[in-house]
Formats: sequence, C-alpha cells, structure tokens
Amino acid sequence: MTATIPRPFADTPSPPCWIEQSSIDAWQEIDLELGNWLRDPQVIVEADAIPPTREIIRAARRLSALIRHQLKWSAPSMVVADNAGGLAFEFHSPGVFRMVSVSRHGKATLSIFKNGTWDCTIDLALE
Amino acid sequence: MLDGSEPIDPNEIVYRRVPAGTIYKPNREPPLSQKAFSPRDVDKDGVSIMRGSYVSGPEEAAAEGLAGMQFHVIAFRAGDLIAEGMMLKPDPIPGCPGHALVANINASNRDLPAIQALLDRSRRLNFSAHGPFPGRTFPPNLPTHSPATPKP
Repeated sequence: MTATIPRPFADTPSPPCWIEQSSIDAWQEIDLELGNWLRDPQVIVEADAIPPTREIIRAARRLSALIRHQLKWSAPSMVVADNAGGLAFEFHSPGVFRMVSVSRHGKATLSIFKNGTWDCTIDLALE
Repeated sequence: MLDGSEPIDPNEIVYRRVPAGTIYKPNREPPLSQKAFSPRDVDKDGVSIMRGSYVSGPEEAAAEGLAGMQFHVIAFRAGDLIAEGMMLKPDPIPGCPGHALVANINASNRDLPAIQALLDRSRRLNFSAHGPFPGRTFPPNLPTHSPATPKP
C-alpha cells in the first residue's frame, strides 16, 4: 500500500509540535503507540466499540511516516481510535485543528477546523 | 424520590467515561482528544454520559465500565455542554438511573462536519479529569465469577 498526498495537503503549513524541543521524540512516541496497538488493537477502545484492524493501523503508520518525513510536520498531539474502526492523528495550532483520519474502510482524509468551525475536508489517496 | 427522568439542570456535573491511556493524556496539549464524545456504532440514540448526582463520584462512574479495563472520567458542567450545542437527555436504565445521553451526537451523524466541529469545541471546555479507575461491570452474558470446577 502506498499513500499519495494531494497538492492542497502538501501546501498546508506544519502545525507546531506539542513538545517544542523534541519533535523527533514525539513522533517516536506516536509510532510506539501504533506499534503497541498492532499487538492488541482491542486495548484502545471500550466495549462495543470497533477497534481498528491491524491493516488500518499499518496504513496509519505509513501515512504518519509520510507526514513526518515528506511534509516534515511536527508530531501530532495524539493518535486516537474513533470508536468506529478508524484512527485519527490530531494536530493543533492556535485557532486551527487539523485531523488526519483513516476510516475503517481505509479512506484517508485531512479535515481542518478553524476556531471550532469546520473549514474543509480533503481526500487523501491510500492505494 | 428522583428516578433519573427529571431534566438535566445546567449546573449539574456530568461524567464522560473514556478508556485510560487513549483519549485523555495529561502530558499533551490539549490533553483531551476530539474523540472524547465519538459515538460507537451501537450509539444510535446518542453518546452516554453519567449524571454526577446519581453516583458517589468519578470512581463510581468508572465502575459502570467493563471489568478488566481502566477508565478516566471527565467531568463537565452540563450547562457548558448545552451552551456548546449538545442536547442532554435523561436516559435512566435499570440499575443505572443516572444514565443520560448526548442525543444529537450519534452513530448516524458522527461524520457530519457540524458534528465533528462540535466534538472539537467540546474538548476545549472547562473540565476536570479523574482516575484512572477500574471498570467493574460484566457483560450480561458472562458470569461475574468463575464457577468452581467440579472435581472428578
């Protein structure tokens, strides 16, 4: 599986890192979390919620590598399960919230919210 | 005597239970994920919350969660959630009269941009986080203890 990042996404400025002095460590912590979830995806959701499959976690991991190494974004504040079989990376900067999601069906999107209002959603190609 | 069906007062405290180590991370900024109120597929009528006046505190609210798991309990003032656009509805269930719902966030509308924006705004509200505490509830189809194995 490869990921293609469309032009609008590539042009989106990088949000600041939640650990300013150590973005590398922050990315490593995110990747470690994903690695731990690969071992037992059920641990991250409550009863009756759908955990992400290992395939979805692997896709999210590849997407995170692209964001980190190609776009050179600072690490997200969190990676979280969406309770519906998907995962999301959360990036924060003042007044702007960016969420990169991988749905349970493998669809990847970038959603941008400005001051608590939805601004746009961009499809990302995961193929 | 109150049975949980009375309207939720804006000054009530309500609890949202989340699995420990995922949605709430005190060392992150912001510490609460946008997914704090994210519905599951089974949440067709809304997302569950617990009315603070029906439990002794956050630990008892966590105890309603599945045994074997740890939970953080996030406490909000009901009026803050309502002001942000959440519709809070009493939903007492047997054994849990304090159960309530955020009725306008559910499995069928969770992907709508307006709902996603509401989830984003809600985690910026004032809240207090408690725990982690253990869940103590067993699914109805499982025994609450291991039956003794008969010896041959």
